[in-house]
Amino acid sequence: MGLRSEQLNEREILRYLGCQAEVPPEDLVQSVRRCSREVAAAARPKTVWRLFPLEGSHPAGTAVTFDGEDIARHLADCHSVILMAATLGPDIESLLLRAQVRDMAEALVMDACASAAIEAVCDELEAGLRSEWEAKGGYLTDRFSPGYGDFPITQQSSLCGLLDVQRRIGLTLSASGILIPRKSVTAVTGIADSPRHRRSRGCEGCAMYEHCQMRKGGTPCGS
Amino acid sequence: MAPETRENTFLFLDGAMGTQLLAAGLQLGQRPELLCFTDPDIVANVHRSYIKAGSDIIYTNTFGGNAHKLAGTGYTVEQVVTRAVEVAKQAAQGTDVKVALDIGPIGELLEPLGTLSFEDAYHLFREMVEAGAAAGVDLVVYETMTDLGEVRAAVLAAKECCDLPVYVTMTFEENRRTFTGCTIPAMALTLEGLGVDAIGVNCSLGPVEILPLMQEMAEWTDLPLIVKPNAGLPDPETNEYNITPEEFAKQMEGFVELGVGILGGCCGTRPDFIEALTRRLTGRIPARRGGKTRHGVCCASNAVETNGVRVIGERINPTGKKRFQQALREHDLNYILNQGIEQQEAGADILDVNVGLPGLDEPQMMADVVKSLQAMVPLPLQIDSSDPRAIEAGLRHYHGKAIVNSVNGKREVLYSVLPIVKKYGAAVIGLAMDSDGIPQTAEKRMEIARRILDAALAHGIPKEDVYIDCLTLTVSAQQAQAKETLSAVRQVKEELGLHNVLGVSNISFGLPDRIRITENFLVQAMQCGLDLPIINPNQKQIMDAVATFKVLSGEDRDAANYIERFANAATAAPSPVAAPSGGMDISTAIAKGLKDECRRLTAELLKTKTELEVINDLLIPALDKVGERYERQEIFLPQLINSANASCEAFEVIKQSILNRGGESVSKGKIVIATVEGDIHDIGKNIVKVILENYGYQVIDLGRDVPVQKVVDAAIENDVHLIGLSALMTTTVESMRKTIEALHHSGHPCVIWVGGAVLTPEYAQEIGADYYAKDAMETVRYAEELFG
Repeated sequence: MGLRSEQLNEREILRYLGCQAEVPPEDLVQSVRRCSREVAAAARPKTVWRLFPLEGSHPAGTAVTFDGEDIARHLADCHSVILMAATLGPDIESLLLRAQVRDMAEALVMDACASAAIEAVCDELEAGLRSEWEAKGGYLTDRFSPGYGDFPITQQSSLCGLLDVQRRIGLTLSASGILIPRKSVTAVTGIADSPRHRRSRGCEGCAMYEHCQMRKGGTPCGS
Repeated sequence: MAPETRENTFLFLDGAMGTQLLAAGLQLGQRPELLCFTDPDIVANVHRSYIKAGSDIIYTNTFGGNAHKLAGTGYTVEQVVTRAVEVAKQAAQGTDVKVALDIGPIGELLEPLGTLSFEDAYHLFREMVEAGAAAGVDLVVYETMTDLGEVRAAVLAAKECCDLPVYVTMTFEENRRTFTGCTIPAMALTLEGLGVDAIGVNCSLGPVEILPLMQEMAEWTDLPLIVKPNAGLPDPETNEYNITPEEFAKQMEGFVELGVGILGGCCGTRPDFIEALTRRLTGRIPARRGGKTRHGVCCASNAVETNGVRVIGERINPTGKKRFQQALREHDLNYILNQGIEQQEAGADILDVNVGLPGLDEPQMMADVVKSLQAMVPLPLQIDSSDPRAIEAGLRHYHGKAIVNSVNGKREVLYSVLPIVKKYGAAVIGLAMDSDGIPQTAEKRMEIARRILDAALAHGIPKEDVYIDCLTLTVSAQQAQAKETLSAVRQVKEELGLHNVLGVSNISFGLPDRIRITENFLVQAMQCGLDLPIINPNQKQIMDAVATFKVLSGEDRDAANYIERFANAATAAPSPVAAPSGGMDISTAIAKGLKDECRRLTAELLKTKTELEVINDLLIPALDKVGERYERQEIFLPQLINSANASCEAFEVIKQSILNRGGESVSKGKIVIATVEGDIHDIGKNIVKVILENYGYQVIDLGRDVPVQKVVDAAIENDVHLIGLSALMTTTVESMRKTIEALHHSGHPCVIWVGGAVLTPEYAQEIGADYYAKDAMETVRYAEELFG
């Protein structure tokens, strides 16, 4: 699977960079386009997913239990769950490291583009699964990742284990719970027999949580 | 007893362990290694069924038995490994079958992309190997590896604690790279150099897809080859593999003709696959291999073949460069890394790395620079030092096959450096000189070259890895020597059949318009057989000469590269004349982020003002104005940084000006910053660094994933009283708290500010910080408060 720079949402990237102006500054737009191209070229997106029946809110036939009330609520009325993981691969890491040595301004834009890129990869995977199941009369919930609400970030290690992510897509988890390569996501989607209510993902679910200027300034964008 | 890898017979490995254990009832999410305690019969049965199917070597059930993966299971590595070996040896009792200690990846990525240090990886592997050796395994097998750095740690661990044979198989995708980007030539060059006993490919693909990978590997190594493919490709939905035992065995026949002698199966293969394989190959022998045809050096993601002119970039070297020396003293890695990136972009094939400076811990510096460079510049490195400890430090941390620069004809140098070169599998440059200095004749230099080659061969270093430097002398001082050098280069190539290295630019020292002499000498030397010139690739004229030479020598097929390089240059419109800067002041140049303008205007200003006047009266106010516009959201963060970068250029000019007149560097105060232990999100910290530096502060940047004690030590050693810490995860704020505690406990008076996504002013206070900085501009305000 490749990635085209047009798949990266330009307005979203500008928003990540703190710019919600009607007419964004031209130099910034140019920088976003340049970086989007570089990120798309260096990305080697890989995804893996696996379907499990649910027992309560736990994947059946495994030694894993999901912790927290939010994930239980999220999976309420679902009969199955899809676990998924996606990564842009390690070349993006090198690209970002290099950019930080060369030019911090460009590096910041590049980082925002990479965040948009991993979102795009997840969106594409989710959309594909969604239409595949809808054709069979199943309905998917939104993606829910460790770290959202009270679904602990430490749960990442069990998702990574069940998906065998290192062998399948080259993804690893550091001792302090960071996915490496960093531009990677693990998530859970429930499947039910009736349409699910889509919810706002909130700040914790946002790719820019790390350094969103708006959130820190106390005025989150509310997307 | 070790298994023999004989040319005229196959060694059969086993098939999948995990697949069999799952079939026998292992639950997903459980550690398979623990079955040796809870249900050893299941494991023993798998071993027995492979032995019955014809396996000569079985792998212990220890794939993930490292301390990292066993954490929290209640079992130690020693217990798990010892038990698994016991189970395997019992199963093999009464047969000739050998038991291999099976070791997979640790499960964490090595720094700098990850947080696991090379040393920690080394110890995790060593712990397993020591336990396995004590329990009596016959060999050590590393499999399913994807990171060449991790493999190196693993191989060194095994080699340094036992004499068992070591096999390594890595997992590649169809694009012939591992997930971390390692290529097949890089794997072959590096592992053959390290003295591994057999190498190959396992997992990920089926036999058909792996065949072309092994064809490539056979070109680059003489080591025995291993293949352990999956049972075809898995169905993404069912996870089932798609070929039958008979199909598998049939497809494996492709490897026989290639001379691959060690065969087995990975995911999805069962005893019936191995049985079909051994049955089909009964009475056959692997084809004789012709020997490797390709040579070179490499980093993990890029092998440079030594079959033509390859440019070695000379810029990472402090000799005669005050600015570079200052960067070394201040441990300013960014400055050094930039030199690497720049040379790569200019077309260098290999980078020379010299970081020797009196009074500096060269081994440590060499290790730091090598580690950082290889994370972002995909070029092989040449470790350049006269200190064997620095050479070893560089080689140990270098995840590829490096060149060592250099040895010479002196006996004590040969015997102190060559063992290191051999141990790490590097290539080596021999300078054609000895204790009597540089010989005046080509013949004498040849004599020394021969001596060096003999010593290298005696140390087990293959001929193709010995490069000779016939030494360039300055033509303005010793005019006759230019011809002697050229003559020696020709003899080294023709008589010894070795590669020639030569530092070229020294030839023109002391003459006007040096580049003419340098270029002409370079072309003549290449004509005589120089194929590894050490030059400054940033000089376009010199690189043009190399590109041109490659057409005439026939190396640049159909002049394709030449045409690409020059065709557009001829037709392109003349480069736009720099916008007239008449009337532009430095404040505008900074606001617009114009780096060249800033440099030019600063040089201009320094003619009439002192450095401090330029900083305080012009640069700082200009930056303040930009900062205000940022606060009013008239400009955004990337633009703010752009302005800071532009003024950084102005500061560079000022630094140079101060260095040139031998003055002390200007600093309004020193600040230590770090991203705390366990965290590698450092973009915020790096932004803070840029901004602070542009307000004239000296920032000691400790990097990311910084151990608690390192922060304390840096504060005390550098007498710094303002510390900035960054952490981005709830999980790593804890190590921020520990760092703050340690700073307070040390008794060293300091003010600490913290920043990062999950922090708030309250949270900052709770973990003992003095300030919470919501953004980079706030850190400037705190610095101004403290330093006045």
